[in-house]
Amino acid sequence: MTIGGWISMTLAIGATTGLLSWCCWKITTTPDVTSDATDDE
Amino acid sequence: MSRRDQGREKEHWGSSVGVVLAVAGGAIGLGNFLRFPGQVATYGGGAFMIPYFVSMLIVALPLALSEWALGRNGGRRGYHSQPGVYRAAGGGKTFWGVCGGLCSLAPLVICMYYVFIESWCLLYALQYLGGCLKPLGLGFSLFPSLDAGLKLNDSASYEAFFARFVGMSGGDGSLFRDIFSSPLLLATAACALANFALIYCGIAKGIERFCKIATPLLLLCAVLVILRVATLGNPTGVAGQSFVDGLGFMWNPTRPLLDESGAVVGQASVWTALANPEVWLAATAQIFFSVSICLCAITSYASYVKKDDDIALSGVTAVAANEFCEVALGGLMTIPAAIMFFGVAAAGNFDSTFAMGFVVLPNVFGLMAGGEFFGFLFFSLLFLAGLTSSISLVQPTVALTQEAFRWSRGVSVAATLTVNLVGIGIVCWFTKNLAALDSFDFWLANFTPFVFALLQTVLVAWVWGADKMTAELERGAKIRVPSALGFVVKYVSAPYLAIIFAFWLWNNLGARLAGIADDRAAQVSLAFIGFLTAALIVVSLKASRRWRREEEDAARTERSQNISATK
Repeated sequence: MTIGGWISMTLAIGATTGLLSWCCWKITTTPDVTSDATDDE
Repeated sequence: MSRRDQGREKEHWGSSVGVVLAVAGGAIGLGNFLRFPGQVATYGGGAFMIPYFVSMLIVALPLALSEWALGRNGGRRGYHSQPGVYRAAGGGKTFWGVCGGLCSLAPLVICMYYVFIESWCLLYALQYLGGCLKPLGLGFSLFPSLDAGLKLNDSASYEAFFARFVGMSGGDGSLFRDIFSSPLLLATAACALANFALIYCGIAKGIERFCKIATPLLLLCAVLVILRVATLGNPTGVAGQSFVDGLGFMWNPTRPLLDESGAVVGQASVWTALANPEVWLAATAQIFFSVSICLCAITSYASYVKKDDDIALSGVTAVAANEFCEVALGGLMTIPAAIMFFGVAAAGNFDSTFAMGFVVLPNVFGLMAGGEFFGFLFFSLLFLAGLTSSISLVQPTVALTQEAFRWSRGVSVAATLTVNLVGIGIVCWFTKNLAALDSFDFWLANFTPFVFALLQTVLVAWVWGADKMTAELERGAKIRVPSALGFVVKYVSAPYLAIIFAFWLWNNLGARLAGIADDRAAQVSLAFIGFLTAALIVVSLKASRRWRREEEDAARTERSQNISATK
């Protein structure tokens, strides 16, 4: 595997893993603003 | 009186995690683990990832978020079907209702062959399970006559097994000739029933509950298989066939250029790959189909989100989960395993999802220590990925029949199942070269999503309005929605998609149309698609007429109440 291969694999996997981790962290740490959605517009 | 009070069903997701897992489960499918690695290896390795991520940022993510906004906007008004959702955004115009109805064609038809493929995964998983149980004296084989001919390290025997298993070598109708000895039809029927049973149980109690178990479980299976592949070392002892060599084959951005004798004559650079329009087309198509744009799944699921719940972060998370499965898991699993056992000789199968999944990998598991167990895990993973995807394809049609005919969920599920069984029957009958499956896949999973994505972009950006889309995303959002999103959807995603679609048509349409005249399976498939198209137009017209009547009644009632109050 070339250095270019290592770089592209690390960047690709790191980017997707990082994005998912950030999303999971935001979901678990940000409180929900829920409603019962009883009205229509 | 509100429209929902007039009898429309009121259902919501139980939690935000549930909707994210359901949407992500809908997007994560066989393509993540089988098609993506093959596309990367075929179209320039690491260089492929540049157009791939560019397409994700300017097409997949903006369009997925616009679908979340469209869906929740429709759901707030009591609509959960694509015609209702489109019509709500299109200012109540029947034209957009009919467009929504036509858009519903893709998930309806794709589900018909997806269930068939699911049954392959189920039976392969059970076959490996039977092998796992042999040491305990409980072993079994579902295909004793078929698997007797399997020879390790002989791809031709695995290919022959697969061809007989799915009825390719037996020809059209072969699966039905020996109905009781063929477990495939029974498994297909069981998979169809499982899909519809989950849909019948409802949004929170059926889809959400199942996806909360199935999506993490498929991730676990994937991680275990990757750990096994990564710890195999160099199983054949041949130089250049280690795990790292396998990774290199997939990810190296520069490729050796070979002459006719196979000698290396140079290197294809990253720029060579990036200058090739086919690489851009392949990357855009891969991410576009992987995220399930315009397959109604996102809009349908988003329509059940509560009106002040977050959809912006949920939308990004669902895309991120799909990308993680595709790039981080799919990118480490199949191609390294194939290269480790067969070297570059396996590369000829990398651009074929079925050859990779059902010929090369079973051969790999046959040679691998503990292969029965890891084969069971891998095909269980594919089965779960398929099932979570297919239920997301069934739900939009069930919602449409519920809203158009005011049927109960049970009646809608039964009606949709009946139509699906006809389509599944066509797919299972024309098994020679899997012609009906291929025809359905070309027209409904490749052609129509492009067409309707363009139409939907027009609806979102110009008819409904990019500002309304942004406002919908910002309602209850846990993250800041980029102010440029509307601009990107309007002036970047739409033109880029149009160029890619034009190039795709140029590459594919001519050959496909020329082949129809001599292909009976393609003719029957197209006739069936035509019939369904006509039926969906009628259903969406009927639904639109009903909604207009309801709106007029509601306006009349409101006026009379106002007059009474004034008096």
